[in-house]
Amino acid sequence: MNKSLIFGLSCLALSACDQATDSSKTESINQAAKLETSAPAQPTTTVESSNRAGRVIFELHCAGCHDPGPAHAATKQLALVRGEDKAVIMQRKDLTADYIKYIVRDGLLEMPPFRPTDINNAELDNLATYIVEGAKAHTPEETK
Amino acid sequence: MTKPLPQGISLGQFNAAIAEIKQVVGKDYVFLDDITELRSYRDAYNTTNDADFAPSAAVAPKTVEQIQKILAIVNDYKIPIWTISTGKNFAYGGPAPRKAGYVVLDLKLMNKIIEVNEKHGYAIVEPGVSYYDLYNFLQEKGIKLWIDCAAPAWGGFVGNTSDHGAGYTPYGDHLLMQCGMQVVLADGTVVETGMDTSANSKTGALYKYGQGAAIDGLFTQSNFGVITRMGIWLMPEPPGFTPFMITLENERDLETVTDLTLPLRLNQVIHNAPMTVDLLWEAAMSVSKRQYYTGTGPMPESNRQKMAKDLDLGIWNYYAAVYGPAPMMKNNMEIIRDTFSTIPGAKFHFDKTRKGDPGWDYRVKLMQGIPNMTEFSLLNWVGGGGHINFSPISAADGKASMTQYQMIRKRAHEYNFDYIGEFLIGWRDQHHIFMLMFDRMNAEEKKRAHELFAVLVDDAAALGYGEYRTHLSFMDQIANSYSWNDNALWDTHHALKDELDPNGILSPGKMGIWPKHLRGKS
Amino acid sequence: MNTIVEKLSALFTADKLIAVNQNTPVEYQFLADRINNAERKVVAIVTPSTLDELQKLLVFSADQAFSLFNLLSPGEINTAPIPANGDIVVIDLKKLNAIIEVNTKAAYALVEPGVSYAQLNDYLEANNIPFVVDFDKNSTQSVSGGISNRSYGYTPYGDHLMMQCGMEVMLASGRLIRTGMGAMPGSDSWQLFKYGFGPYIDGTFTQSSLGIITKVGIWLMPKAPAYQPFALQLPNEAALNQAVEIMRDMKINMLVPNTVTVASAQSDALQFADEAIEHISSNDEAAKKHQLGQWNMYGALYNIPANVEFLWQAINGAFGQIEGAKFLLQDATASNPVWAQREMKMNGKFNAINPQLAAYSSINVHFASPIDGDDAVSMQALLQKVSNPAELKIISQFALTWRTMMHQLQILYPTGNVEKLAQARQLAKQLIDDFTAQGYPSCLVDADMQDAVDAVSLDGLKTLKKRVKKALDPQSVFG
Repeated sequence: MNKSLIFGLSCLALSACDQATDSSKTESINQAAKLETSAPAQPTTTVESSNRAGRVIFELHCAGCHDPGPAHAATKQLALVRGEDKAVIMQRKDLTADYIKYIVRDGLLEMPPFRPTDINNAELDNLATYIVEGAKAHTPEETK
Repeated sequence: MTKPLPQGISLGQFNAAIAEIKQVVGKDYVFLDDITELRSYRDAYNTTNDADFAPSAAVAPKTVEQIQKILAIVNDYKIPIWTISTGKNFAYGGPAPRKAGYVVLDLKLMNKIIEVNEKHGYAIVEPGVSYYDLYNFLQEKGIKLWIDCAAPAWGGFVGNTSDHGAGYTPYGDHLLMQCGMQVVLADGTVVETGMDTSANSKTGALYKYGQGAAIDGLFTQSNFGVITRMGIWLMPEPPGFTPFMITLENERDLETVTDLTLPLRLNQVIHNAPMTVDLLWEAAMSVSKRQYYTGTGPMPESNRQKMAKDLDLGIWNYYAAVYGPAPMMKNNMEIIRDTFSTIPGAKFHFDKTRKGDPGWDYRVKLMQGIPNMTEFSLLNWVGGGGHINFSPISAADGKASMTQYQMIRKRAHEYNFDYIGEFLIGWRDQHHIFMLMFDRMNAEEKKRAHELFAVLVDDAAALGYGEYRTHLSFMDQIANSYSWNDNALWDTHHALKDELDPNGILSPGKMGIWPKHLRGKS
Repeated sequence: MNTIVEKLSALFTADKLIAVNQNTPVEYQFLADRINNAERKVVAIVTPSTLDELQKLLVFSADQAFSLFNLLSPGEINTAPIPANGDIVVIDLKKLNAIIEVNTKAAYALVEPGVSYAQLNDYLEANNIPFVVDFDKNSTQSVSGGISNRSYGYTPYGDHLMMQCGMEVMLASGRLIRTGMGAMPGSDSWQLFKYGFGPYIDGTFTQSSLGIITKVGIWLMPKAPAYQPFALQLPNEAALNQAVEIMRDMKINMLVPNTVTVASAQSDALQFADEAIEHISSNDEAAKKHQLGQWNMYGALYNIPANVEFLWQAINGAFGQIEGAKFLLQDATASNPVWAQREMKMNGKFNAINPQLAAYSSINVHFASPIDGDDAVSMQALLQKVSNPAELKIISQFALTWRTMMHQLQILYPTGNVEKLAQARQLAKQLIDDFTAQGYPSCLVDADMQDAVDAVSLDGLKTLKKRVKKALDPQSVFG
């Protein structure tokens, strides 16, 4: 292939990340961890961090369904079943970071789950913070 | 919860293999926890049980070398892997594997845009590149090329093209616009297809067929290799673009509009694939079923009529576009107007009166390659999000369209579901998509949807209609329906499978293609 | 050898079995010329007239020492690999020549391998069906062969493989498969939808010996409401470069939909004029004598009249910038014999070629390049400077399709001249080496040049193809 014009994805650096060990692993941590063979060797690849900002993650993965307005499926559905005041997640002060992270990984009804390769754990933290902070900063008058 | 293991593999073997894989990609890119990680790899919209498709692990490599090492390991341990790219193949299984226990090979992190060439109109991308990714890149760089995306657009080029997906611009036949690919075979051999037959070829993404057997198509809708890179042609931004919509009042107009379209497609008067969309699909972009009908079963006729009136929609709603310099578009639109005005009650709509309607807006975006997620509004129709696509191919023929539509609608109503569908009119064929929507939290509804689907496959086959793509649950049933000459074609697929993947570790069961040791046991 | 013919006579009556010897019919003499070498030779030709006969042959051949070679199109060696060694029986499917269906509504035909472009065209004309037959060289070539070879014609449907839809293939085992929607019993979409369900395998059976195509679907183009062919005569290489650059944009933006060709005066004279081959050496002389430019580009517009008019303005304007460029339109064909033949090809009409070519055969090698003026100039330079001590004449043209500019070469040698054929092969090999080294790989070569292409190709794809061959023809029925 002609490689004279190689562009990396500069602003959307999607390479490896240093994933912190998830301390919230439950008991059902698989027995595999216990039965691991002795002393796993270091990975052979250089691990680069992907740590995109919450806003970047939101624009890429969430806005399509969650931005305000009738083009956005989740916003519409939330308005219908939960009420207008619950429609736009960026304006919802009732959402906690833990809840957001849980829903992202588990999905909910119409919403499918997002994998660690879509949004890694660090980015998930950033996203949750972005939504929570954004909702905090939102004043209802602005929507009128 | 017991970890689902691949058939015939012990926990010890599995753990040993995983330990080796961890050394290849690093432990942070091997996902094992059923609760916190692997839940996101299930098919959220299955019609059976989550457990049926639960993987034992997921692995996220970034390079061809890592993939080769992983393949060596899984060949050694005989562990089946299931390759996904962006993992958004919803309605067909999403990121989930064909059977519980497989290890998902998640290529989302292999997501470089290798090259974009504006002069020659192509891009070369890795599997993890989504439609959004490339679109954003092109916008950011001011490159005047369009993408052709699927709806919704969070999927990606490699995955969608290799599943024979289609889009809404003149470049809507994604496989037709594919040019060159890099594939890793089961034994780790790296193959560059097409014109990359020589090391410094200038035409890798410019000439589709190469020399000798043209084999790219072997790696689509199959499990013969892992695609790690793909060339795609991109359409230069045209000087003009005129989308239009025609609302049609009668059910039988489906037949007329299809027959009137065929010559316009053959003669390239309409440049993209027109869509004939039923009322409910259209309406679902703006409202939910409960806003017009709170009963059970299909929406009654009078409710439908009221809804159509309120939303200014037809029983069928036809979308298409012309592209090119303004004078040429004007000439084509004249023919289009003359042609479709012959249908009593047909009304033309353009941006001026339609802008702001979510149905219009999102289709207009798709017809110019602007990615969006609006089509997911379909999941709001009954709520609960469950959806599975029944996707027969139809001739671009009015009678055939009516036959399929009526057959599906009758069965859907028998099983207490609405018919929600659209026809995409290709060059001589149509993709007919029936969106079977159900509440995924309702076990009875899931079961009923599953039964309906199985009946539809048989009904369609009895009429000689076959699907072009399907959900994990129905791959075997549909593969078996393509049975001409005693299943000779699938025997051929299996002969290729046995040679290209003797240990049968690549996506066993994809499209009903099974390795020898699992054949006839699914 | 006698034993093979004897064995075959149990399967074929005398009218379907030809032993290759001094009495081999003229039409088949090229087979020995092109196939025979120290390792292999053609011993017989069979002309089955039913699928049953073909099947029996394949089944019989499985445990025999000889291999089978399927002749894709009459009179030429074509592109399917020749068995490497041993005795070879050639299959000529000319008697499997039914036009199974022509669908006037969806504009396609389903044909058997023996159907020629002429036969299809006769059928369309006899039934007043206004569809265009897209052909490469002449009317006697096989429609199915054009797809198998992945050859190109000159109308908007010029990419024969792209216009193919659905096929029936007899595998080496004798078993029949139908691809795409053909695998669904009772389907109405076999010739309507290419991909079916599962892997898209049709391309595997082109330019290969992995199975014998016994039926193939091809889309046919309805005659356009308006058609405007044009010749653009260019005075020099700089103009050629400019013209290719402008035409790239036209092609990528789908404004000129057909296969656009570009040829030197010399090449066009060799191919279309009535002049002795040996005398055509100077481009200047050929241009003068045959009313051609130094370089000549041929294209056409196919659309509704108002759009053709608009597009013509655009084309006129764009190419008019090239100094010394001159347009010829359809009316000029009356007084310009070479232009007349070129125009016919773009109109789906069978043209005449230089009658002096009747005494010649050719080795075909095609290379693929980006559509780029500099590449046209580079490839021409490669052609000019290749070592050609025998001074063999080469017909060459650039053919622009989708995003590729093919450089299509026919290396001429007097039919039956063993020495010149050897020299032509040497020349072909050198061209394959030179072009590939500069980044222009082969996209079509005559079967007896396959080794030369393999020598400069990457391993991965070759490995894959060996495995596919093993899967589909485990007993090397086709060599």
